[in-house]
Amino acid sequence: MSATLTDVLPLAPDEQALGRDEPGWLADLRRAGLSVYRARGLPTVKVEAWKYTSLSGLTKIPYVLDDGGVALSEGGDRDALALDDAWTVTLVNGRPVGVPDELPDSVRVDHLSRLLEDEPETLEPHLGRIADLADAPMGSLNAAHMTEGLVILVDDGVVLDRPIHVVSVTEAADGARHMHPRHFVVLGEAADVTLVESRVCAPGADATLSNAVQEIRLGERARLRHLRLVASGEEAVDLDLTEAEVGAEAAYEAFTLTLGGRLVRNETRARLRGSGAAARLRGAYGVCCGQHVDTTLVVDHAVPDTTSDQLYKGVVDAQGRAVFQGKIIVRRDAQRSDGGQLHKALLLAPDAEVDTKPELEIYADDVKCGHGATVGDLDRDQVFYLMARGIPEAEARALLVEAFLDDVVGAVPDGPLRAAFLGAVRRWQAGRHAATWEA
Amino acid sequence: MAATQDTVDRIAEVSGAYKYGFVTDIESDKAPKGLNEDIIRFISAKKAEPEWMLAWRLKAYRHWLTMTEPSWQKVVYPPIDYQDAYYYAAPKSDDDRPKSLDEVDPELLRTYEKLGIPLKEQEMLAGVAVDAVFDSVSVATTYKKKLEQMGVIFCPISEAAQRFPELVQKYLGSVVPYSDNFFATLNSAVFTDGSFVYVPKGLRCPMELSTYFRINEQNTGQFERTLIIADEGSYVSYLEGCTAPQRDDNQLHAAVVELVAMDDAEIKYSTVQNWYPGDETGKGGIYNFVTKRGACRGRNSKIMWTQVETGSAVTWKYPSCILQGDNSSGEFYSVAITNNAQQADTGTKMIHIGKNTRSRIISKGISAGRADQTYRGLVKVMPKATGARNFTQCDSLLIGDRCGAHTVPYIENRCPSAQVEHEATTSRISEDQLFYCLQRGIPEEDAVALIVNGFCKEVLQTLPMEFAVEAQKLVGISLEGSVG
Repeated sequence: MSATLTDVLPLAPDEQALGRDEPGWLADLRRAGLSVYRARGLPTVKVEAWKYTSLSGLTKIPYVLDDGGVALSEGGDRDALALDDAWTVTLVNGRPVGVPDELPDSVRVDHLSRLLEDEPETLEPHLGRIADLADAPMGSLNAAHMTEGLVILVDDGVVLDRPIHVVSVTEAADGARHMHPRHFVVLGEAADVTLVESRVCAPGADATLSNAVQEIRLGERARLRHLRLVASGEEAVDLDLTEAEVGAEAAYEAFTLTLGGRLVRNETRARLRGSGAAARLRGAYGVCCGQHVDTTLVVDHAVPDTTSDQLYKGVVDAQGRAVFQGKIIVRRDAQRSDGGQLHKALLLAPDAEVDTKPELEIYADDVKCGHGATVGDLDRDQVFYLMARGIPEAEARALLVEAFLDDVVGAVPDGPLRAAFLGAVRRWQAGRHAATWEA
Repeated sequence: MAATQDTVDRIAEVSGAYKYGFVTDIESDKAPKGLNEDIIRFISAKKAEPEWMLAWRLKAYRHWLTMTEPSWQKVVYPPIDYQDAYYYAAPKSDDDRPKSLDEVDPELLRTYEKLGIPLKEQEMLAGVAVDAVFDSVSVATTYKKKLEQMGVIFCPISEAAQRFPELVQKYLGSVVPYSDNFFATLNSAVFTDGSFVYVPKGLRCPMELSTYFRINEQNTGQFERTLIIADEGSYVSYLEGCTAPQRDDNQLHAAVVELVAMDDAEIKYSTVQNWYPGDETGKGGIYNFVTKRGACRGRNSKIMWTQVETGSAVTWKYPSCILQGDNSSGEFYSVAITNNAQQADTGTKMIHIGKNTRSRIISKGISAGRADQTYRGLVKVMPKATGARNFTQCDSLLIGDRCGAHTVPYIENRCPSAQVEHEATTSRISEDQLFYCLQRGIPEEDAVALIVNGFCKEVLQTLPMEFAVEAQKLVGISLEGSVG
């Protein structure tokens, strides 16, 4: 019976075992997740929110659910950003390995599984309460499966002077695995935290499907800088849905640099719930060689007097496909909302593709909202200018690509962090040369 | 004093009831309600169509049965019962068609007068040939002889199917295939009339061609099919305008318009659409689900769509250009106004296939009352469309805090040397501008109309003269009652 179900609905958990020995609210959450996933199935291009990214190909890969038991492999530097001055916590296939030492008492970094087992009451007000997954089939699937992830709870008024660095490593296991980590970040009033996340892949651990959900809640006047590097494996499918609920006068500032993965979808939703709340979503991506990178953003101005700003820049080289979907919603009566959005993409090769869908959905009249989108090649005059000064074409183009991305990458606060992200861009550029220009 | 009286008259004219809300009492000859193969055979027989046309209709109908109504558009309406509508209605006097206006049913002529298009006057003064579609049969075509002497064919499509079957067979469904989408397929099966235009090589059509559509018969869906072909080096400007009488049953209007422009040809297609939008609560009103598409087949060809959409309860319409020929260009200018409970999901598609193809999209949306409006547009650049260029600008204006304005552009680029730009803004009428007008003694409603006309100017000025004046008035009238 369950085998038939799996045929129809790949990746779904066994319904009979769902929520067994768990508190009622958690079991309900799982069942609700499964019913949404069952109703919608794997999204195809017929689903508007997935118009440019189809997951129907996933049915061809015989994924099995990751059951843990995979250890961090020896050797090799997994920390792509090489941050020295940070509290680092490592995740293997979505499961935390230990917790950082010397954290202040006011900050709690823990494993989701431990909290689920020992003190579910701590999780109950947050888990599944922040992200609204009713319209997200993959997020709902995560709810049905979730057992592990990272929980970060920060007390009121705590200002951390060093970033928390989450290094999420995909390690090889027997066969292709699918995993559904669920992470949490809850900041108390006026807390101020920098969270850095790097998603990397150990050699040989390519064929994985990671379907993560992150729930973030910012109390009044809190501030979270959320910096991410996505450098997943060549065959990895990396789906991430992050939903941030931003309280009054609080600010959620995200920066996402996506450079790796076969199929990556970074879906970020910011819900501005209190007056004066702000969301700043920035990012850059480099796509080539059969990769598909989807950036989907939703900013929801739910109350009056909120601001948001989206700025994404991307470079697409041979055989790459990039998707950008950005949406600004201004709810009825959310007057004096200020929302901006700009997406610029460079298309470097004839077989590259960029699909953009910048969307405005506005129900209030006293608002300032606008969006812009451009897609084009590098400016020939600029390339010529550099070549006329003796810089070889490949180098000139690489320089211009770096300059193009500098608006966003260069705006990363804090010197060492900025340098780390820039280093990742340069490594990607070097790889891109080998992949396309010398061929 | 005169000015005050004028204002009073105008408000009385528009605030009470829909200006064109009347039903002309003409006996009509109609097929029974419902949709099946027999009805399609009946329509085809009525029109004395060639065999291939009936076969095409039936193919479309059979395909339609396998399709489901689309639901991705951002509009809400109760389900349509396709079996509860008439698919054919013709004025009684079908047998002895009038040869001149004097022979036209006087009731009809009075209807046109109420609509503000006295045919006779237009024929003499404006130099416009009018192919008036009253319900489903064209009853008066003027200037036809004159145009025919020059080689321009401008006639009802049913007549064209009999007289020029090879032309119709060659181009019908070549831009919008019978299987295109739910409503276009339905249209292919049951279309009853529409216009056919063929402009021969090298001819600049000396006058604006115009059709006045009008829904009259209760419960009669209108399924016009328009086909315009501009042969090499020719030019034609076509005008389409609509008004409809008031009634409570929702009416479906699913037209298809196909344009074909060959080498160096240019087609300008202008629409002023003012179907009955329903009352203040949204009751009644027309459903306008239209498929309009133009193919720039030849080199240096050009298609320009201009639309002013003020009516209909629900509008679903994307006039598109397929830019196949090298150096061809497509333009889309749109003003859409929604008030009260109206809903509109409208925009365009520009498909760049040929080299150095250009497209330009200017869309102005005005939403008032409790209306919801969406701009939805696609710009697609194929890998071989080197040097393609697109510029899109869509601005929305919100009047009042109960309405919605949405922008959903899709940009799909697969060619590095193409440049695609998109800009969109959403705002409301600036208080400074309004204050400035009020201070100078301009009443608030007039001031709003003035400012909105300014907002739309870029689009309105692309309309032919006689349409531009009408459209400007329409902008003001459509927004009555939305302020203060």
